[in-house]
Amino acid sequence: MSTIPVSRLKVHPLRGMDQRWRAAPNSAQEIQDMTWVEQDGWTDGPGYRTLVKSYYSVGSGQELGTENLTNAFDDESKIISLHWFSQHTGAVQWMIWETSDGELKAFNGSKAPEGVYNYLRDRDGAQFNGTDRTRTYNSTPTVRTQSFTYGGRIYLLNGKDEPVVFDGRKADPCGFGTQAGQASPDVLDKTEGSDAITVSDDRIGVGYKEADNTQGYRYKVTFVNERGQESEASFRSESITFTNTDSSNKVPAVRIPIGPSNCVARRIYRTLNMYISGELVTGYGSDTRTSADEYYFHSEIQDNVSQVITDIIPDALLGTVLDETQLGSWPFNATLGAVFKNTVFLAGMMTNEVRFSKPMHPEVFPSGNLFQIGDSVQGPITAMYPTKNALVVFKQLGIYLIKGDPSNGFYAQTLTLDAGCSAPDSIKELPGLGLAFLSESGLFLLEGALTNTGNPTSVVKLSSYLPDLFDRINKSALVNASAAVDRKSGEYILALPTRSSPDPSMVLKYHYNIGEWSTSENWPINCMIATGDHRGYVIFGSHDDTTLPGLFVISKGWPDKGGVYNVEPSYTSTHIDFGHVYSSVHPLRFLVYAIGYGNNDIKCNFKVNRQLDSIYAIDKSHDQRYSLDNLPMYGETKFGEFINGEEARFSEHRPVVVRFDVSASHKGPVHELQVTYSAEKRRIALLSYEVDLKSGTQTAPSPMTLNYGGTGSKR
Amino acid sequence: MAFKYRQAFFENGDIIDARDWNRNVAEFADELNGYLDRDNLPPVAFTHEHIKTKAFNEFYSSIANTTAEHRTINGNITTWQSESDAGLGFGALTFASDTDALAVVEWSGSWNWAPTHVDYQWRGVSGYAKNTLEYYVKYRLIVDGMVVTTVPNSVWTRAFDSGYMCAAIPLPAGNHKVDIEVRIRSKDGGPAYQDIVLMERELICWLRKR
Repeated sequence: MSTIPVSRLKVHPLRGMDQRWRAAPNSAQEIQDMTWVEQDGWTDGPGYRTLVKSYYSVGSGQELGTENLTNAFDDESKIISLHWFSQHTGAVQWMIWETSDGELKAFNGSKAPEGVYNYLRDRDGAQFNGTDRTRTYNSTPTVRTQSFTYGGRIYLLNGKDEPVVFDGRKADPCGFGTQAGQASPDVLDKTEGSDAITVSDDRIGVGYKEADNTQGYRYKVTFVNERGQESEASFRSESITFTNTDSSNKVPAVRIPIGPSNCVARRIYRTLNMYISGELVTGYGSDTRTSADEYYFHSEIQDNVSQVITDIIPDALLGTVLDETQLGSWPFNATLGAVFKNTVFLAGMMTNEVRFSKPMHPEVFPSGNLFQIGDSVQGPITAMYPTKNALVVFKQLGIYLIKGDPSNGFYAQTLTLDAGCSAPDSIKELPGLGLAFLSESGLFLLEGALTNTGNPTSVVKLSSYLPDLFDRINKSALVNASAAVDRKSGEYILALPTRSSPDPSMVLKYHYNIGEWSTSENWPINCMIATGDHRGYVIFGSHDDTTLPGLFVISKGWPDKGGVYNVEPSYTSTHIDFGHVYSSVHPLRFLVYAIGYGNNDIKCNFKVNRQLDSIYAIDKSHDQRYSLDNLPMYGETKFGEFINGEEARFSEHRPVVVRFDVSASHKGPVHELQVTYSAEKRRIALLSYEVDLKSGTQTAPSPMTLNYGGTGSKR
Repeated sequence: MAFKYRQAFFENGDIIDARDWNRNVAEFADELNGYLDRDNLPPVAFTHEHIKTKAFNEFYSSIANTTAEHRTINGNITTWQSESDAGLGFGALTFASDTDALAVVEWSGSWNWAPTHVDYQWRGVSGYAKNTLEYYVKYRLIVDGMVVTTVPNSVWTRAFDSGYMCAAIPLPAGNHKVDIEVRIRSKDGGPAYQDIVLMERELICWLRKR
């Protein structure tokens, strides 16, 4: 208890960053390398380490016998996209990444710590190793390879390379880029001349058994890949005409085109007999199935080798009619993909179109299945994300919703033209809140049910109070930003490029449990994922292929950031305003409620009246424990031995009060005060603090806490 | 990716708290309790020599590929039939499973309409007047008395035809029977008057043990 009457400002609970000129005392101007925890305090934040540990390799040549510390990612080039998916209800997991050397790899931990990846291979066994098969790398800011999963497979598309689908064994082309080649029918001859092959069985044969009357057919062909996805139909073949006899039919031979390497079958479609009683059918006749230009399923050739089929199937045994409006090629140059209600949506072509697949056929895109989203005034389509009951389509300036379902049809509606998305990899679902996305003017949240029921749909800005931080962002490289949700810490981690480089290095963390912000530096994040399993790790790919190459996992268990940068937690308060400019206070001490971690100091310094320099050239520091406590510590305690006469045992971390006596009398009257707490080494946990000041007359101290809002939530 | 990473950091000078230890140990204990996977094991750590025969899978099959095994099914009966006109079965599988399992069953076979009643025999000839009755044959797959899948109707115009059906069904440990049934009917539900000769066929049951 103080011996002189003082005023005491209690600052509790501590909240996140607020860079307004006049912010509440319990918010911070800057929080670096810290994490909010559910016990309501700020602790030291995570570091990162390569996905696999380094190991010692034996030297060679003249250096034989020396041991070199080596990491599997030492020679890794820039990682430009990172993807995660699982198969077999989560039992088999895949992490796939692309590098600036044009490689496409999958993590293989069974070989750790060496060679922890396998190159993906195509159907012919060629590896995506940057030489046999390569992927395009753009050093300029551009949309990275996007992915979505369907049916236990992952689809990867970047608009530059052939889109591929990886099923756990091979990376196959998605669908077919063009229509199938044309069939070429002919009447089968035993010789080159007129000795046609015929069939007299009543139940088989092509055309009617009518002497002298012309019979005629056309054919179409489609290609089918191993996932049952069908290409566009070929142009109709030349018609074949022939005559039968009263007792036999001729057998046509149809030359069919060979498909590309991903074609595993070809479907043959055929018209009904185009002639009735020798007359060419020009429209619908008495037989309502009869049309000269309708094609019925004939057969499926389940190989990609046969070049000729013989046709003995009568009209009555043909299958269903070919609906060509339900076939279509994979859209060229698509860069964005999403799955919504068993339908694949693609966008990011050179137009404002969103194309969508035939339902349940993720690689078949009928030409009529499209939406024109907005116009060119709102910029290009920048992202798509399926959530709740809608597919959200973002443009540079505009948000649209695609709703409906395959059976009743899809439809698009405009949500807003005030905000859009600039970075597709920034879009993440925040638990219990909504969909977070980055735009040029800050981070926004799309909240609500996205339907006419439940919570109203609205777009709110999350980063309203961080003007200085967002001023630092490199707007021209905003598309490089990426994000992940760390469910363990309750953080939305957003990696942003700053003006010094197009490659992201600054991290903004949104602590979604309390709606507050903090920041961190030295994170070379080019792309980022959160694993979708029970482990929930956040893993990022680095763009720094010199100092920090490879894949890194984020954890509070690491001592530093990749062994290169320190984790340096610090909490800097707002400029706490003590009222009128003609009144002043004299700070006497700071009482910090922290967790007693031990001998490693907590440091304190402060500024007054928004001056540039801190009061002390060297921070004041104090152990994070009570002075008289003599608890067992790492580096000193051995179990089985004694400390000050007591047997060594485990202790507990508990809240303690650390006191810093201060003076700012040499700076003149104090109107405003800003305090910074940091850790000498790594660990720190701040719960609250109090400022003791002299204010008013000594006989009638002013109740600061009540007057200046030191307690209670800011908002 | 089944790698695990420590979650708590401590260093010299920190007070020793068991929760730091527990947090890190728990991270790995979770994994040992059932989440180990291929990333945790070196290549070729397990080979077939380590695994008992039929530890994971068992196959049962019944194949009929000789003329003597053809079965004629009476087209005058309109109900589901589990044996031929001569009282012979179609090749059921019976087996006992010592564990729960997922049974993947499949059947394929071919058949022919036997021209037993000339009035209703179909001929693909324009103007042939006798094919007035429309009829079909249908097959279904039965596991322990439950219908698990069927083959679509095969119509009278397909004189020779074949079919395939498959299904997956979880089975408890114990005795099981897999069989097929056949039904021949005319379109109006009455007799077809045409027999079916069930020819080459195979019934397979793949038991994937849990």
